[in-house]
Formats: sequence, structure tokens, C-alpha cells
Amino acid sequence: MPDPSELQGLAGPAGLAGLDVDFAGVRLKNPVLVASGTFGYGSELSQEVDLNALGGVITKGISLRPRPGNPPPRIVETPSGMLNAIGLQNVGLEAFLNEKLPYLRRFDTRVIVNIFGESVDEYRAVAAGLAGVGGVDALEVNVSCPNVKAGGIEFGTDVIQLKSLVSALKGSTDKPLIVKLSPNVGRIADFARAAEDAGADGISLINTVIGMSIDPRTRRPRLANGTGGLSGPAIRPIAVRMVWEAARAVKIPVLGMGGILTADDAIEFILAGASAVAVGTATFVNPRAAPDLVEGLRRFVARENLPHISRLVGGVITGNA
Amino acid sequence: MRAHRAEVQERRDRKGPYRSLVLDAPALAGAARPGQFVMVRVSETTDPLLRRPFSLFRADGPAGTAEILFRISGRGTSMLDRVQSGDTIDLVGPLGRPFPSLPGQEIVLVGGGVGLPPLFFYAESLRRLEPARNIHVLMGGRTKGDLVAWEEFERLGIDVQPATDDGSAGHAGVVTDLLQPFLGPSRAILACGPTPMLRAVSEMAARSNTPCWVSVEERMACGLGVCMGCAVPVRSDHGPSYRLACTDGPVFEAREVLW
Repeated sequence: MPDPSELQGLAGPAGLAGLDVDFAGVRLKNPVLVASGTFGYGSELSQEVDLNALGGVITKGISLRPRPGNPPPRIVETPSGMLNAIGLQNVGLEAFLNEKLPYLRRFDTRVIVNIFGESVDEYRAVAAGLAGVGGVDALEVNVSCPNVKAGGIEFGTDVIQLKSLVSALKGSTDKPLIVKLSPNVGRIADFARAAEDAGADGISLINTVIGMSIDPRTRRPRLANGTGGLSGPAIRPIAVRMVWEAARAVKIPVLGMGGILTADDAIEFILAGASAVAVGTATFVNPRAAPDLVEGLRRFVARENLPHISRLVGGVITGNA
Repeated sequence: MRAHRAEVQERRDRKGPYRSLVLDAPALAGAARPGQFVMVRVSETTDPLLRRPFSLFRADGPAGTAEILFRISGRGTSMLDRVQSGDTIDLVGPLGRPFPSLPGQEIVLVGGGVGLPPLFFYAESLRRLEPARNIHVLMGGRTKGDLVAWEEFERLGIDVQPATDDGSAGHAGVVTDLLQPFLGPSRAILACGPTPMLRAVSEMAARSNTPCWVSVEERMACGLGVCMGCAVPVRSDHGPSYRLACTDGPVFEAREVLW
């Protein structure tokens, strides 16, 4: 008996033939996910988005206990982008399991839980709490949040620490592990390889680029946290380059993100080597950005007469024509 | 569905840097409640990237129109100022929790500048439902030009108490100088304006046991509860925490907010 979602992927009501992908052992009906921290826990945009239309939802980062987040101001707009320093405000593992996950399980879409810890032990505890839980298809390991005092990015900017964290998590969960890499490093390929060597099933990138904005009149940083993470179209070229470098360095699949607004933007990531893509900041501007992207990719595939979108993965032409 | 494309029926130039846009938006107008807001896209390009939040100044369900009133204060509002009658704008709303309905209470509205539009929406709606209800508005600003919608409030037959920093209209000083005679448990204060004003109003309300709600202004990216950018420090059962101006607010009970 074939998996019903697979059937839908082949000839679903939305006519999405040619978009289904297998990502790190997770079957996605299309390669469009929503990025962690940009779609809440899935229910917030229920009036605008039918979750059944999406390849998957990546939740807000979940820590073992609830986190209040950073004091305001937490965001500031920048040219073609924004800086944020939310500080991983989240409901914590227990409330996520009891109050948030049941809603997500009602949909025919994949649920990837972004997990966060201040220590290896906390990461392991969150992963263990999600092990065997029905309706959780994979974990995305957040080693790249730039806005918290401890944990997060310190694991994502040190190859040794990254390896030991991912190895430890492999032993704590039955779920596929996707490691979300930080762009705030010199050689992204080293980190992609480290994740792969330690047993990651996939990598996702990029998280936000650390930035800062100062008010010339008050002479103070515009964010209470001082620095924050830059997202939006402003970072897209950085993200495409990093996906390209990372994808060439590993065999595990790459989930690409960073300023994607349109189907053409997503295709850039796919040509650079991403098997799937995530929509982030675009959702803030257009709540329907992700389902619109699915539709845009469907049209792209049809217009280009492609049998399947996977034909484009890593297909950037870099030699002389 | 909260996403709309609305035609601008009329653009109204108001005093100084204030403008308003009357929008043909039946779904929005039918659903909107006083205190709610909309997120407006001011540009089709990526710079500026984010939508801008605006409180609703008016919504007329039967006529299918809604009006936003804004102050030209930066790049986003300057771009919105270029919109002409007949143009279409992209907006999401109505969003947020409205002001509460307060049966039986004498209503005291306290605001200034772009804090006045949602208070006017409240006053106009309440007048329609209960023409006899006592409503006062205390409005403040740097100068007379900041006392927006003064004429509209007077047309509703509402007692207007003005205050300006420069003394160009009404009391020379801040609006809270006028609040003392309007305090008391039989009244309810609804306030919207700059944070120092809201803090002062909240403190006076707390000392006099006057029920009080404030509509806060915070920077927000989405307006939908997903970016978590618009944190408002509040008291909670388990100590200080944050709530979101967009979905938990923008209207909060004043005693809940940690100023």
C-alpha cells in the first residue's frame, strides 16, 4: 500500500507532479518548507495558508523549558532586509508537545521541529523528548542562532563542537537530523562536512548573518541586544554562494534558504545544489509567500518542460558556454 | 482571509504632516473593530521590505469603506503619501485585539497624534450604538496641528479637552495634566499614544482605581504573531514575561504592562 502523501505527490489535486522530493529520508510533496522562526507553530497563519499545500513546516526553535526571549526593540528594518534579535522566545518542549504539535498533525504535511539548547545536555534532552513522537518527521538542529548568550551559534562556529553535538544527538533520536548551519564562518564547506561526518542526514543553510544598526541621533544600537541576525533578500547572494559551496562538499541533501521571495529565487538555490528550499522573511511581507512559491515552482517546471524539479539540483553551469 | 487589495477611494490631506486614505475594502470594513490595525505594503519592491502597521481610523461596514490616518514621518509613510485616488494598495487586516466594550462606564479617551485615530473609531462606533453615553476625549500634541480629528470628535458631540506643548491650543502642557478630574472607578480610560504618555496615564489610573486600557505601539515585521518582534513586557503568573503587540495586543489592560 503506497503512502497516501506519495500518491498526492505524484498526481495530487493541485497537480504537483514533478515537485515531490525525498529529503534526508523524509518524503516531501514539494520542496517548499517554511523556515524556523518565521511561521510560529503553524496555526498562526491558518486563515492565509492551507498547510496541506506545503512540503513541510519547520517550527520555531524549541528549548527544553520555555524561554521569554530578548527585551524590545527586537527588530529593525534594513535595506531589503531586517535584523532580528528575538532570542528564541518559545513555549518549551512540554507545551509544544501538548499544545502545538496536535494542531500540526492534522495536516498532510511534514513537521520538522527545530531544536535548541544551551548545552549538549539540553539539546539531547529536547531530542530525546521528541524521539518516537508521532507526527514529528525530522529534527532541525539549531547551531546558528546569533541572538542568545549561550548555546546555538557557539556550536555552529566551531567544527569540533559541532561534530560532538551532532554525534551526541545521533544517539538520542530516531528522527532524521538536519543541521542548520551558520553563515558566520569562514569556510562553510568545513562545517557542512563536519555535520555529515558526525552523522547528519541533511544540512540547512543559511541562518541569519550577524549584523548591527546604530541610530545616529541616540548613538545607540537600534536593537536592545546590540547585534542581530540579518534576513531577507539582502542576504540572498551570500546564501546562494554558501549553498553552492556546502552542496559540493557533502553527499547529504541541502535545504537552501536566505531571502527567497519568488520561484526564480528558489531555483537559484536549487541550481546551486539545494534539494529543497525554505521561505522565511518573505512570509512576514506576504503571508501566502510559501504556497505562492509552490505554485510558482509548478509553473516553472511546466514552462521549462522539466519532467521533475530534481533535474535542476546542482545544475548551475559554471564553465564556459 | 485577511489579505486584501483595496482601491483608494479618496485621499485626504489633513493638517501638517497628517493624511488619510479612504479605502474600498468591504471585507475589512465589515470585520474591523476599534483598536484593530492593518499592515500596509508601501512599496512593490524590496526596499522598504516590510509592511507598515496603521490603526484603523474608521470602518463603515454597510458602505464597505475603511479609513487609515497617518503621519508622514519616514520613508514608508512618505511612499504611502504618494498614493492617489484610484490606486490599489495591498493590506492585511483587521489584526489584533480591539478595545473592550465597556457597558455602563463613562468613557475617557486619552491620546495624541497618530494615537487619536483608533480612539476616534471607538468613539464613533459607541456613538452609533449608544448616543447617550458620556464620552470625553483628552488630546495632546506638540502643537495644534497634532490634535488630529478634533473636528470629527466635535461633530460627534464629544467633549474635547486639548493640550499642546507650545500652548498653541488648549492647555499649555501635557495631556495628562488634564486627566485628574476624569479619574474614578465609574469611568474607563482608553489611551493610545507615545509610551511616556501611556505610562503616565497608567500610573494615574492605577492610583485612582480607574479601569484603563492602552494601545501600544511596537516595531513589528509581520503583524501576524509569527516574527515575535513586537514584544511587550508584561506581568504574568510566573513573573515578568513578554506578550506580542500584534496578536496579544495592541490593546492591553494597563495594569498588565510593565512600563
